[in-house]
Amino acid sequence: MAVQEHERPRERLLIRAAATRPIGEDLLVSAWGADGPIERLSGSGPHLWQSFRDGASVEEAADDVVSRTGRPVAQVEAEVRRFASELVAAELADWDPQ
Amino acid sequence: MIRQRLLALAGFGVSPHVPPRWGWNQSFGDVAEHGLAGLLAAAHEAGAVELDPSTQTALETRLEGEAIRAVQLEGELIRLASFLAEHPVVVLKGAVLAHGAYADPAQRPFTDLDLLVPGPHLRDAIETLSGFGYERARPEPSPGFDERIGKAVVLRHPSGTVVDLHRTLAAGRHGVGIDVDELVMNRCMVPVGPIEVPAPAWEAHWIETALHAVCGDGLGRALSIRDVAQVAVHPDLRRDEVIRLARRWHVADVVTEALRATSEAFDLDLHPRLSKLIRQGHTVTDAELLPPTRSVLHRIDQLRAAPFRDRIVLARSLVAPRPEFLRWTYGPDAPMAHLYPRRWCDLLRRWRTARGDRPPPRAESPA
Repeated sequence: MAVQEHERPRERLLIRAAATRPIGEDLLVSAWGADGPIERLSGSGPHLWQSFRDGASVEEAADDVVSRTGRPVAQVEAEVRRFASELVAAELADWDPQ
Repeated sequence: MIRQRLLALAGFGVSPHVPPRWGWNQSFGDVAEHGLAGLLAAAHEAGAVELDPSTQTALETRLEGEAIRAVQLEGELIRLASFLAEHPVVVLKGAVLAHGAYADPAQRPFTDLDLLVPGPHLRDAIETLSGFGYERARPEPSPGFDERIGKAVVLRHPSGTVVDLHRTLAAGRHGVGIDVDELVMNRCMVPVGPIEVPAPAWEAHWIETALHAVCGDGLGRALSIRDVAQVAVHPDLRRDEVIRLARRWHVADVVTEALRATSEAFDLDLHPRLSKLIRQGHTVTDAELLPPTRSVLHRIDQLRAAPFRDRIVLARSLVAPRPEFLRWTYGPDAPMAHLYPRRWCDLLRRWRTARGDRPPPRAESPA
């Protein structure tokens, strides 16, 4: 079935199993234990991390932020996509090939 | 005085009493050193204690440091998942108590990973962990010492992460009766973040906390006593099984002492079945509350109680340890011919010190 024009792709992340600890509003993430760095997620990072862990796609995570903040969809989606790319670059997640 | 304050804070949330409202700014250093920063934060958040702004800042810094250390160690448990799945091993204390027993993991800091494996599997476990980058922190004193005598082997990762690989739950005679095979066989799985790790059943873990509080810390560390209380109120703890295990593992006296100290410290209403142990009057002598500096007495105590083969291994570790152990102890430069007499003199001095004798006068060096 052809994808309709108004539908957005559903890109998802596979989040690596990682230990997390909150520090105030921030979230510490350790996926590599003694062998790797500890990442510190701040701003909307902890919320997005949880959304991705719960299986949300980039678009669904962005919609969630939009519904909470009322900010423009395009702007939020760009930020969420950038955050997702940073998680992949930090080897805390992979793009789901499906 | 400070001990009473620390105990009052350590009881926050389990004791019917609240800690003193004031005075924590001055004693913050002790609070942090005793691992009670998380409980101080909880008490402050609940409005039970007052802190000035600078102490609040110091507290936040401390908690951040503890969180960084904890998340790295919990991440390490994830990295070691295959080891934990494939070996007869349980995770003791630390992450398991923080996530499985305490209301908030931040209330139970930890600085290393404590793993327990039965003696016969220790060598295999060390070898597997070496594949994860771990190395022994010190050489084995004599062949067979790790599997038969030592309480734990300390392993260090180049990043500074430390794994204490335990063979039993306590040094000296209290560790001899612990059935580690049974403990590992009856293990349960405790969620630590996104994974579950093997841990002792809560009855065995409670005995571990009691042994650690009494034998390891000589009832001098408030957080250890809090651990005893925290597991004592765990909903999955079967009290009858605790009593049965304590008797069968020949540690009813230590367990009783831990119970008594905990109930006195926190004015805690113990479960009637646990109180039964106290009523039966097991007691621990002062000699059994040995601080670490008296470890040579532990060893000699162990010599009396151990099976014959263990005695040989232990005696050799004391009197004729491996050369590499002596070099690790005294430094690589001293001539080996001097190291054995030096070892024997040290043993004699430590034994006398442990007994409370005055140390023998040292010979004056020639001018």
